[in-house]
Amino acid sequence: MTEVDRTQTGPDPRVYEHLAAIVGSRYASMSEDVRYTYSEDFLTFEKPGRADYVVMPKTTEEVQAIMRLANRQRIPVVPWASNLSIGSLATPLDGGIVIDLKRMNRVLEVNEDDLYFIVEGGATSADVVGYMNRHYPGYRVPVTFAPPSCGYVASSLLYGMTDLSMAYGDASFFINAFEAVLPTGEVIHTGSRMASPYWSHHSALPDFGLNGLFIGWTGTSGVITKAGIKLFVRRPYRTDYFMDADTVERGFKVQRMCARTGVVDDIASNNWGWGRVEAGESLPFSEGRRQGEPELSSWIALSGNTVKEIEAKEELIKDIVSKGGAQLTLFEEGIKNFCKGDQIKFFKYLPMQLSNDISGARGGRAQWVGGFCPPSMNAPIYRAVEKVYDKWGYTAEGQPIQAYNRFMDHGHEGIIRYNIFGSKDDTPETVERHRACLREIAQTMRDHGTILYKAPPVFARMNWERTNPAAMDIIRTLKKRIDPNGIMNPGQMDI
Amino acid sequence: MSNVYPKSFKHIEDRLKAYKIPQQCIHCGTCRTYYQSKFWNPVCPSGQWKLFDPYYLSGKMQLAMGLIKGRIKWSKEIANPFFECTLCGNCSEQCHVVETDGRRPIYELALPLLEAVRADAVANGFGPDVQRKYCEAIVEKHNPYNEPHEKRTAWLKEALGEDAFSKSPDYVLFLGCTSSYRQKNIALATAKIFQKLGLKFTVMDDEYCCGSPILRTGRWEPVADLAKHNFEEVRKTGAKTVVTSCPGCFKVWAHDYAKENYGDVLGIEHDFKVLHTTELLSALLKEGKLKFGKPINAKVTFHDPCHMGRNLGEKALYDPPREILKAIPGVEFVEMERVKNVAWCCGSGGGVKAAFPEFAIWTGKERVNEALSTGASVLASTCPFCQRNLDDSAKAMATNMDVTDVVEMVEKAL
Repeated sequence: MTEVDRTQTGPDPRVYEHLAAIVGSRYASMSEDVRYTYSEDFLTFEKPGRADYVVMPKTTEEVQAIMRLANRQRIPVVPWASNLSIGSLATPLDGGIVIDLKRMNRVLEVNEDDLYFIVEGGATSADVVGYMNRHYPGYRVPVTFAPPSCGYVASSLLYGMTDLSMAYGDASFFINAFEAVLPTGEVIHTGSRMASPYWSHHSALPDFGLNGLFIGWTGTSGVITKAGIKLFVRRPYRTDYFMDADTVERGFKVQRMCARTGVVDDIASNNWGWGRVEAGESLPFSEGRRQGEPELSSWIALSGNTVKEIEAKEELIKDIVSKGGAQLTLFEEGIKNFCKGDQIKFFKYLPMQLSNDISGARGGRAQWVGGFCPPSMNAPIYRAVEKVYDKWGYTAEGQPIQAYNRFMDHGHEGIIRYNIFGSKDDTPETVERHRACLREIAQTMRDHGTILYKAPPVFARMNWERTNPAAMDIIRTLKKRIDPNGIMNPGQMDI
Repeated sequence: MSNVYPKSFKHIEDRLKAYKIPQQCIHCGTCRTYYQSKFWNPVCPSGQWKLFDPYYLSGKMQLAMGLIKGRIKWSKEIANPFFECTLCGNCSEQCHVVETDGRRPIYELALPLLEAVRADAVANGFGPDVQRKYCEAIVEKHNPYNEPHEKRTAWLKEALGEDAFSKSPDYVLFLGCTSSYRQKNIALATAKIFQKLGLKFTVMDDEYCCGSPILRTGRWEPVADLAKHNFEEVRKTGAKTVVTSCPGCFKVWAHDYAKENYGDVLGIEHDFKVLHTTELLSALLKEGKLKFGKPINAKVTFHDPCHMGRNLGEKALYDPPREILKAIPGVEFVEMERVKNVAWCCGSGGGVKAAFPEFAIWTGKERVNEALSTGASVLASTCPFCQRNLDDSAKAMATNMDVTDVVEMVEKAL
C-alpha cells in the first residue's frame, strides 16, 4: 500500500480496506454514524475529535496487524473500551483508527489455586462480574464504582476505585500482569507473565515495573489485550454502614481512623453537594446547606468469614465512629434518610454505579478533576476548592462544591474529585467558564500536593509542569522507545 | 434535525420534552445490561448484533442530539441505526436517568422519541424501502402483506361456520393482519376457544390493519384513517369490547390510540374496552369458567412479547399468560433468565423482520437458545410476530423446540 496522505482529513478507503481485511468487513467501519459517535465524549466539556475508522479486533494477532499498519502509515490509534473515563481520554484528537475492544471481552481463565483470573482487554465490569457470578460465585473481583459497561481493564489502568480499595489500594494494585501490543506491533508480557507461564504476581525479576508502562498512560503506550487480575474469596458475612459527619474535617478524620484498623473493605464519601445530586435532587439547588444536613456522608463496607469476625469488626468501627463524633447507621436505614423515591433502589446495586450520580437529568453534561493526594491534605484541599466554587459563582447559582473522596490501602492513599455539572445547551462561553473553573480547581489541588489522574491534556500538562526533570526525561525516553512514530492516542497525556 | 420532528409529532416535543431526552443521556451505557440480574446479561439486540456504538440507545441518543444541534445531517448511514433496531425498549428499562420536574426523561420516553426520530428520517427521505412498500400496501389493501383484503377474515367464517359468530356480540375478535394472513393458527385457536366457551363474539368482515407496522416505522400518516374505519366497524357490531391475540394490535388499541399518546395528534378517540385474549382467559380461569379437560405433558417456557410487556409500562401483562399455562394439567412451567420487563426480544419488532431479516433471525436464535437452556421442549408466546420469528429461528437452528402460542395450548387442553 502506498503511503497515506496525512494532510487530508477524513477516512481513506484504502486504509479501510486493509482494516477490513484484518478484522472482517463486519467489524470495520468508516460510516458516518459510527465515526460521529466515536468522535466525541457525550458527557464532558472537552472538545470533540475525529474518528476516521473504527475497528473491532477479536484477537491479539488482529491488534498486532492493525498496529503494524498504523505504525507503517503513521496513522493515530486510540484504544477504546467504553469511553467512560469522564476525561475524554478515548476521544481521537488527531483522527485515525479507534480500536473498539468490545469483542475482546472474555474471562479466559480463573485460577482458584493461585487466586487470579485472566481477562481480555475489552471486557466490561458487566462481562467480568456476570461471568464470575455465574461460574465462580464463591469468589469476588474488585469492581469500580462505575456503570456496568465500564471497561474493566481500562478502569484498572486508570486507577479506578473499587469496592476492595480500602483494603488493597486503587484498581491498579490488583493487576498482576499484562499482555499488550505495542505501537510497533510487538507483543509484550509484563509482571510474572514476563518470565513465567503464570499471571499470578508482579515480576520477581529486579523491579522493572513493566506494568507501569501502561498504568496511567491513558492509552498512549499500547493496547492491553490480556490482564491477570487478583481474585478474592467471597466472605459470607457482610455489613454496610452509612456514616454522617457534620464537617468534612471530622468525617475525613474518622474515615482515616477506620482505615488504620485494617478491617474495612471500603469507604467512599460524598460531600453534601454531590450527596444531594446522588440522592436525586436537581441542580441548581434552591437552598444552601440545611440545618443538620451532614457535610460529609460515607459508605463503609465490612465483610467477615464468621459471625464473630464481622461482629468484632462492627464493634470496632462503631467505637471509632462514636469517639470521633460522627453518626453511624446501617446502610439500608441510612439510605432512606439520604434519598427518596425511586433513587433508593439504585443504591442496592453498589458498587455498580449507574448514571444517576453523574446526573444526566440535570442537563447531561459534567466533568470532574481528580487526583491522588497525601491523605492528610483531603480536608485542606476541600476548603480551598470550596472557595474556587464561590469565586466562580457556582455556589451562588445553586451548584455548591461537588466533592467525592476516598481513602485507600488502609489509609496510605488519598483521592479527591471535584465535579462541575453543566448542560448540553450551554453556550461556548458557559462551557469555557466550566473549563476555567475546573482548571483553577486542578491548580488548587496541585498547589496542595495532588497529582492529577485520568487527566485530559489540559490537566496532564499541569502534572508535567512540576515533574522532576530526570523523571520526565525517562518518561519521554520510554515513550519514544515504545511509540517511535507517536501514533498512540496522540494529544492525550501531552508529554 | 432540519424540522426537529414532522409537524404532527410536535406534541412529543411540546408535551414530553423530547429534546430533553437525548440531552440528558450521558453515554453511561447502563442501557446495555440487565443490571438487576447477578449474571449481568446483555439486553439490547441491536447493539449486540452490530456492536458499534450507534446501535445502542446511548449511541442513538448521541446521533439524535447531533441531528437536533445540526452537527450532522440525515443520510442513509445516520438513519440506519434507528431502523436496525427492534424497538423492544429493553434499553429504557435499564436507563437510570432520574426523575426531575415530574418527568422521567429517558427511561419512559425513549421509545416515543425513537419512533419520532424514525418519522423524521422518513420525512427527510430516509428509511428502509421495504417499509415504504408495506406502508403502501396498508393504504391500498389494508394489510402490509399486500394480500387481497376480501380474504382477510372470510376464511375464518368458512372454517367455523357462520353460526359461530354472534349477531349481538359482547366481543369483537380483532384478528390483526398477521393472524389473518400468516399465523392463521392463532386466529383459529382463539376463535375456537371463544366458541367452546360459549362467548358471544364476532369478527369484522371489513377489518383494516390497526396501523402498528407503520406507526412503529415512522410512517404514521395513514393511521388515523385506519383507526377511524376500525372504530366504525366495531360500532356496527354493537360490541363494547375488542379482544385481540396480537400484542402489536393490542398496544395500538389500548395504548397508542389513547389521547395522551398518539390519539390527540391523530385526532382519534374510542371508548371500547380492549383486552388481550390472555387477559380475558385469565379472568375466566379465575371465575371458574375456563376449565381444562386434556393434559399437555410438556416442559414449557414463556416468551414475553415486548408490546404486551414492558412497552405498556405499569399496564404490562406479565401474569395472565403465565397463570393460564400453569393451570393447564401436565404443564411443567419453567422461566428463562430474562423474563418480563427484561425479556430478550424475539427479533421481529420495529419493522426489522421485513427490513433486516438476518438480524431478526440472529435475535430469535438467541432467545431460542435461552429457552433451550431451561430444558423446555415448548416455547410458548402470545404474539403472532414472536411465534413466526422464533419458529423461523428454531428451524434455522435445526432444533426440535416447539414454538407455539398460548391460545393454541389452551385450545388443545380444553
